[in-house]
Amino acid sequence: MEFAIEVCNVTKTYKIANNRDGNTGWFHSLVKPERKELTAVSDLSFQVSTGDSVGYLGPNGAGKSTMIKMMTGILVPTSGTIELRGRQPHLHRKENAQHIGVVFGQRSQLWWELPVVDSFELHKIMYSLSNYCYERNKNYLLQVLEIKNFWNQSVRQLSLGQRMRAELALALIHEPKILFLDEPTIGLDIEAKEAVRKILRQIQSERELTIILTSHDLQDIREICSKVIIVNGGELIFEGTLDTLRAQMGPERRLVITFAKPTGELRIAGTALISNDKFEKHYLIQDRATSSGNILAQLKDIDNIVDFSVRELTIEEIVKSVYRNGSIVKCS
Amino acid sequence: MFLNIVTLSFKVNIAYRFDFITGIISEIVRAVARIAIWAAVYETNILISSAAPSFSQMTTHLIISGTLVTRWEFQGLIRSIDQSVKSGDLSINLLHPIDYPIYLFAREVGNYIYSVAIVALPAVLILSFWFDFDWPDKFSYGLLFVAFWFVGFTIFFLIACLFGLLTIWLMTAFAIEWLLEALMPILAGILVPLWLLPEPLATLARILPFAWIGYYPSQIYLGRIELGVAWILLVGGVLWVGLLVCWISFLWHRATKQFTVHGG
Amino acid sequence: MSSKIRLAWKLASLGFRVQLQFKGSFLLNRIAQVIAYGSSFGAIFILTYRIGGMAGWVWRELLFLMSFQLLSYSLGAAFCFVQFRELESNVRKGTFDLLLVKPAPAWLYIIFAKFNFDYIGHVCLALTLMAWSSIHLVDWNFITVLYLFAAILNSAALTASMLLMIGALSLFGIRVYYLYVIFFSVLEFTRYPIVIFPLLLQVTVVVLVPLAFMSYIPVAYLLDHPIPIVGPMGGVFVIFVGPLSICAATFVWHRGLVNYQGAGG
Repeated sequence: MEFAIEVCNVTKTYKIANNRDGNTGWFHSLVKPERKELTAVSDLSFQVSTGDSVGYLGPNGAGKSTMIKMMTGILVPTSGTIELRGRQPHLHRKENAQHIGVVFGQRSQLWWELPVVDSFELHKIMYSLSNYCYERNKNYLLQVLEIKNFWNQSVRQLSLGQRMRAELALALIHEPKILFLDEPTIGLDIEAKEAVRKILRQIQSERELTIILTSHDLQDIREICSKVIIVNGGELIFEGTLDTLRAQMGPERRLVITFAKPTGELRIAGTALISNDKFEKHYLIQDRATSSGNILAQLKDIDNIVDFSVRELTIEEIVKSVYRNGSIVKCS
Repeated sequence: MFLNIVTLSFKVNIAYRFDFITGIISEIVRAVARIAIWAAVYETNILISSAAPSFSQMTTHLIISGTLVTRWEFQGLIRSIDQSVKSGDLSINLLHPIDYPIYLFAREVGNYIYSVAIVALPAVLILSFWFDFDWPDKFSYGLLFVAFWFVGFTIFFLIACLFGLLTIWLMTAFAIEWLLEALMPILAGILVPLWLLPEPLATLARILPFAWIGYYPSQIYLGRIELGVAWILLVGGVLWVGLLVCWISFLWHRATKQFTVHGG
Repeated sequence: MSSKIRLAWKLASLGFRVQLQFKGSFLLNRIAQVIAYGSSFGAIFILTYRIGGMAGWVWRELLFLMSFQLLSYSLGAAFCFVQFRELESNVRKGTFDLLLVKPAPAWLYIIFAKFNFDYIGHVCLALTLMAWSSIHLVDWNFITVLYLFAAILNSAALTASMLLMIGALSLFGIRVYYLYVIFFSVLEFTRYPIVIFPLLLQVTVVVLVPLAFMSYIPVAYLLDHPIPIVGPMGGVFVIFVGPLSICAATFVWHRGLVNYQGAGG
């Protein structure tokens, strides 16, 4: 099988200046800065096949963005190798850039003060696209991403959702083979998030795109990705398909009940009580066999319930859960 | 209240630790450039006349007027007036218990004391070892100098305020900073002392308030102005302060009216 | 190469359109700057006119020197000042990373996307004063005109390279703001004949921070004034200063990139 991305024993350490405290500390750190090493990524290996869409997950500080920066050639690994389609990104920065598209949710690549079209024409020149190629891709993306009606509008007048669609189109205009998405739905409302996910699915299947996605929103991962990589503290803790992750994780949802009056311990069949407050109790819905109907039926008999909700697990909880349910799992 | 703001802005400045080292270096460099120009002038012996100052007096004038008394960055004031005009804070600031102009004055006094203490005085000290520098020989002139210094700074502040208020009508702080910068080299009499200016420019410059910012304080410091004349000049400076305050409050009044009409 | 020129042109024209959006104040700002420079030149004019000159330079020659310095500074700064002063904050905000995933060199993008058209006022003033002051000063013939053009290009390249190198130091994690402050105070010396300064400073601007090559040395060479330390050969050397400084800037820039990306190991 051909790999789009091969990461082999990659470690990245930063040297950071350590400012000393005290009245004269600043002077010492100016003259003789104390440096300490920080390991952001530690001996990480994985592969991504061509055409896969991979969710790259981990809590804050897990080295996610460092890894994305290394895969895109912004940073160079301290040791180990990364190959994108057989090339090391930082050694072939220019050729590599032709084949990757990057969207950073919080950093725009569009020219803020100018109409959308100008950023695209700039990329046409920057990526040396032929007229034919540019027009074809442009027409395709304008239609799929529904950009046409704000194509001539200045970027600063766009809504966040419109802007993100334009960012996506811009990252795809040169027909990259690999698309890196760093928090592409951050700050968007639910409708706009939905639209972005749908479009990404469509483009991915139509263009055989390899996608690497980081997100805090599990729904993004669920709807866009077929595979998941989970890292924590710079180390790989899970690599496999979403189904494997589900099987691995066990409990997937959390039931939260708020009471009007102080209430003692209360059991609900098919769930486990994990947080027992007088007014608010949390339950893990453990096995898939427990249906929502079953739970609803049980809740009906309890009075003084103000509110209840079933929540998705957060990324932090998934990481914890993967840890709980056994050691590092790898299935390719 | 006033003192609180003064000390607060002083503390904010202390936080920028490296500022003062680079500040001192660049002040010294600028002073050396000015002194070197005049050293070249004195070498040609053209200026030998009884009225002309000695070289050490000239050096002292350049250091006092260029490095010490004018060491205030008015750009910050113009920018903050401009910002409050554009953000509409101007009308909000009208509600403060302390008048906005007084608040600004307190803040800038703090900034000025900081830059004099941390940057200008060390620079003057270093320059005084390097070049022939005259220390004031009469106590009376020393005292008068302090009075002139304070009046001069107040006038400088008021002129910057006046220019800052122009942003309400001109809408570009950038141009206004540069315009004020344009007036200083000729009218404040630092690199080119006012007695060197051709008539009638010289007379005009002696009357305009810019002379109190740089030229008069250093001449008083050197004792090159008779005591009687010095007192008249001090009164003149105070008159300028009054005139500028009236002018500013007139503009201020018009501006706030305009703002309440437009709803801020 | 031609693709780079096309890209530079496109970036600069987009940048121009961005700056044009604030055209209301553009003209006013330029006028104010021209008045400010005119006034500080005027002060020097009054000084030297009343006194007859400075270190053997008559006021016309001084005006030529000052306008030459203004021209080479503003040409260099239009390419490299604001752009590389912002680098430090762009590195901190992460927007610099976006340039590294593009197929174009990052420096090209930085220089031309923010190409600073604000210096048009400086350039107009400098050209006018240069023409007016030097028309009778120099025996203008093919060789001297050619030298003047070469000198302007080299001086501008020297200024641009220095500004770029200071900015590139932020890729090593150095706070460059203060270095710019010092650079600009040393730049003050280049407006006057350097022979009036103490020897230590002459050595500084000729050898250590070779800013004398951006104004004094080429102008003194054209006007047959003495050139300290390096002598008349310095005037000839001016035409190598541009390429040399660009090499140095390229080197520092690449070292900066290597350090930023952590490729040095």
